[in-house]
Order: sequence, then C-alpha cells, then structure tokens
Amino acid sequence: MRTRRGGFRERAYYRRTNCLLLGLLAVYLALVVYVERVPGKEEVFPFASWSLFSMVPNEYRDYSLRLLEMGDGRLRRPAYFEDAGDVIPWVTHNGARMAIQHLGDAAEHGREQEVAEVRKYLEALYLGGHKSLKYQVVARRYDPLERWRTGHFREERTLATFEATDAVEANKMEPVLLEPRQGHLPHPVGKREGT
Amino acid sequence: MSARRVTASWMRAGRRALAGFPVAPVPCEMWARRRRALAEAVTLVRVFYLCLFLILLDRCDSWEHWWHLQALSLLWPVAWFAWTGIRAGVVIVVTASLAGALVAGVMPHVRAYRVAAAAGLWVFAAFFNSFGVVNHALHVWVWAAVLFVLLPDGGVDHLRRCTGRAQRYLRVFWSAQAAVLLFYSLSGSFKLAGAALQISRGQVSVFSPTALARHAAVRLTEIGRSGPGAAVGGFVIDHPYVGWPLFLTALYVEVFSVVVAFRPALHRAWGVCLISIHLGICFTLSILFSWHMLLVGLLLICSPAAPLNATWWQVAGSLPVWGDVMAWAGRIRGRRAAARLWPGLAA
Repeated sequence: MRTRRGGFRERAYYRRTNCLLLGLLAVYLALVVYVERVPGKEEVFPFASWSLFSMVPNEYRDYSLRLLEMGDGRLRRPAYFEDAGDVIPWVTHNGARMAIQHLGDAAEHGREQEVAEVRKYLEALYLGGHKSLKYQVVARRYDPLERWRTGHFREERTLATFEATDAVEANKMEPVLLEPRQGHLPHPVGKREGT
Repeated sequence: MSARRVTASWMRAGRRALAGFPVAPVPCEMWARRRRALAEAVTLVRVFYLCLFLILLDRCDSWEHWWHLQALSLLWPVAWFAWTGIRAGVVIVVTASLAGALVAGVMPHVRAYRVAAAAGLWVFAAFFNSFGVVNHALHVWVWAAVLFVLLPDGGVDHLRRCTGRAQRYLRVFWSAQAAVLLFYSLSGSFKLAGAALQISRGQVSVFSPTALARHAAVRLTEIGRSGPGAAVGGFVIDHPYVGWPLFLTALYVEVFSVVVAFRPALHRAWGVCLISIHLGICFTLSILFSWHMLLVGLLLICSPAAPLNATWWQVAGSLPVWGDVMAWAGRIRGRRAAARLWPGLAA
C-alpha cells in the first residue's frame, strides 16, 4: 500500500515536472517573439533569442571611433578603433564594439544623456590607460567585400568629437554605476557574438 | 474520449513523428537501456558541475581587472551592485558562483546545492554580460543549471528503486539536452526568417554563395584582421564557393537541431556536427564558443540516451528530412501491404 502511494506521488511529481518544463518553454518562446518583433530591442537576460548572424550584410552601416591624438604620442596618425590594436588592447573585444555602436546611435539621434552614460563605461573599460585621448564618433556605410579588398568606405560622417578623461584621474574617481540597461540598442545588420 | 486523453494521444503521436516513428524495443532491452542511461546521467550531472567550476575558475586572470573596474553597464540581476559597490559585488558574485558550482559538484544529489550553483552562475553570467554587451557564452550553462534544479534528489541507487523517479530524472536530463538543441534551432530559424526578408527585398541572403564571405569580411575588418580566423576567413572571402556548401550544411544542422532531441541515434553525430560548426566559426570569424562546445560534448556526445552500437545506416535513417521521408514512405508501404493482406483493415 505504501509503495503504491509512493508510486502515485512520483507519477504526480513526474506530471508536474512535465507541466513545468512545458510552461518554461512557452514563456521562453513568448519572450523571444516579444523581443524579436521590434528590431534592435535588447533581450531580457537570460532569455536569449539566439538571433545571431540572421541577416547577411549587404551594404553595411556601423559606427566606429576615429582616434585622433594620444597624450603619450604613441598614435602616429588617426586610425579607426579596430585598426589601433598596437595602442589599445581591447580592439577585438565584442563589448567595446557594441558600446561604440550604442554611443554612435545615441550621438546620431542627439540623446545627450545616453551619450554621457555610454562614454563613462566605454572610456573606463575600453579606452582606459591613455592620457588625453581625442577621438571622433564616425558613422560609416560600406560594402563588406569592397572594404575588405580595397579599404574603401562609401560614406563616413563625423558625429561628434570627444576627449577621454585622463586615465590616471579616472582611477581616482568614485566608481561610476549606471542604471540597469533597458530599452533599445542600435541594431547593426547582423548581431555579433564573442566570448 | 476526454479532452485530456485526446491531448495525450496527440502529444504521443507528435512525439513519435518527431522521433521518426521508431520501432519500440522489447521490454527487457528497454529497461536495461534505461538503467544504463540513468547511471550515466547521474555521472554526467556531477561532471557538469565540476566543468562549471573549472570554467568559472578559468576566469581568474580577469579577477584583477574586475577588482579595478570603475564603471559597468549593469544587467538587472546584478543591479544590487549599486548598493554594494563594484568591488564588493565582484567578490560576492565570484565567491558565490565558485562555491555553488563546487558544492554541487561534490553533492549533485542535493537540490539545495544545485539551486546554489544555478543562482551563483546566474548572477555571475549577469555580471559577465555587464560590460556593454550581452554575449551568449554562458547562457546555455545557465539554462542547463536551472533545469538541473528540477532533478529529483538522491543517488543512483535511490533513484533506481522507483521507476517514476528514475523516469523524472531522465526527463529533466533530456530537457537540458533539448534546451541546448532548441537554442541552435532558434538561431537557424532566425536565419531562415532573415533570408525570407532579404530575398523579398532582392538582397543577398543566407542562401547566396557570398553569404559566409560577407559575414567573414565584416567580422574580420571589425577586429582588425586578427585572430585565428584571419587566414581561413580571408581564403573564404576570396573564394566564396568554398564556404558556401559548408554554410548551407551548418544551416541545416542548426535548423533541425531540436528534432534531434527526439532521435537518440543522432545525439553523438549531431554533437560532433555542432562542435565542427563552432570550429568553423572560430576559423572563419575568429569567434570561439569553447564553453558551448564543452556543454555540447557533455550532453550530446556523452548522451546517455544514445545507443551503444548505432550503425551508420541507423544514423542516416534518423537524419531530419531524409529519415522522415524514409519513415513516411515505409509507413505508407506497410499500410498498403497490410491492406493487401487484410482488406478489412484498410476499411
């Protein structure tokens, strides 16, 4: 009798587990659809939609930083952020790239407060260690294969020029904490991924 | 017939269709297979937590950088950093995640420890993604850890004593496998949706020979033509037709991944395919998903549900699309033969 009661209980647990798993699946898929119906909407962590490299880049639009001057004189001529690997160690970091896209989008649409917020963590996390770094935020338009072969951009527009805070001073600052992120991020043609 | 029974019957039929109408094994063989699968699943859960511990520990070279952080773009699970400060927050998150993974590795049969591991990993992943971008390196581990919380408590001997409990354990383990495969299917499905949109606009789509070359060109120029993908990726850009069939094969593997959850004969082969895709991504786009590869290896290549001696023909017969066509053709042939033998059956 005891065994039978235990068996019934286990069967109930089993059914409940199945219902829970199905419910979780439904919630997950609903959130994915909710996030993906608006292009560029940021995902609700940890409910990733896994929409990665979904669109093939045709004519690609993005933002980058054009580094103009460095206080220590190591930058010989202006260079884009991604081509400045010899002076900035973070050029391959996906976080740096996404922060730049975020900054470019905010600068292009005149969202001053957002520009200030993104600059705080972009400069502290990815441009740190350089005194008096002067840079421009540039919007670009190019064909990927054409750029790969010839280095040619179809359009380059300077959106803003900034000077990064002195890194030594930045280390003396109080920690800057930003509000939890929400809302929209700029949406380049294909989302990028990196560990 | 009650609505519940109709639903159950439909779900059973759907499951059988997804599994490619497998032939049911004889009962003694089925029980032996289940006993073996249970023992393997219990071991794999322990290995999962130990691998998780090592993954988290492997970030120790970043601890100093994190200690000196001045700013973060916080995700909501770590919004409490605003009260504790970054340093204290980092210490709490790193310690909690490491401790949770270790105790769960030592005692995976205790749910409280599995909860601790899942919670620790969840906040660690949130902190790890608070650098201005949400990467997805830890998401699969977070979800697997969350699902493993639902495992019934007890060691393998305790689980074996009750069929229902053993079945629940295997179902939860299967759900982690299915979740990982579902994520790949979502990725593939969005690529198909993107292709439909781009084709309707007359643009180059995922089916175009230059699709992989364009992705590689964007990615490699983004990172200053560096990383392991620079050589092979450059070759693919210059010779797009080399990468085209590989890209289409990867798309097929991604799209149908979730179906493979229902076809144990394919688990190992699909695990190898998914790891190969990640290697391909690494060598063309310079993006390494090593943590994904590890989990795919654990859950699919070491799958407890995979048959011990699957023949090549069995694997080929289970392939999505090809296997389904074969299965449906077999069913139609079988019905016709049955109708010839017993005309009353067709009526």
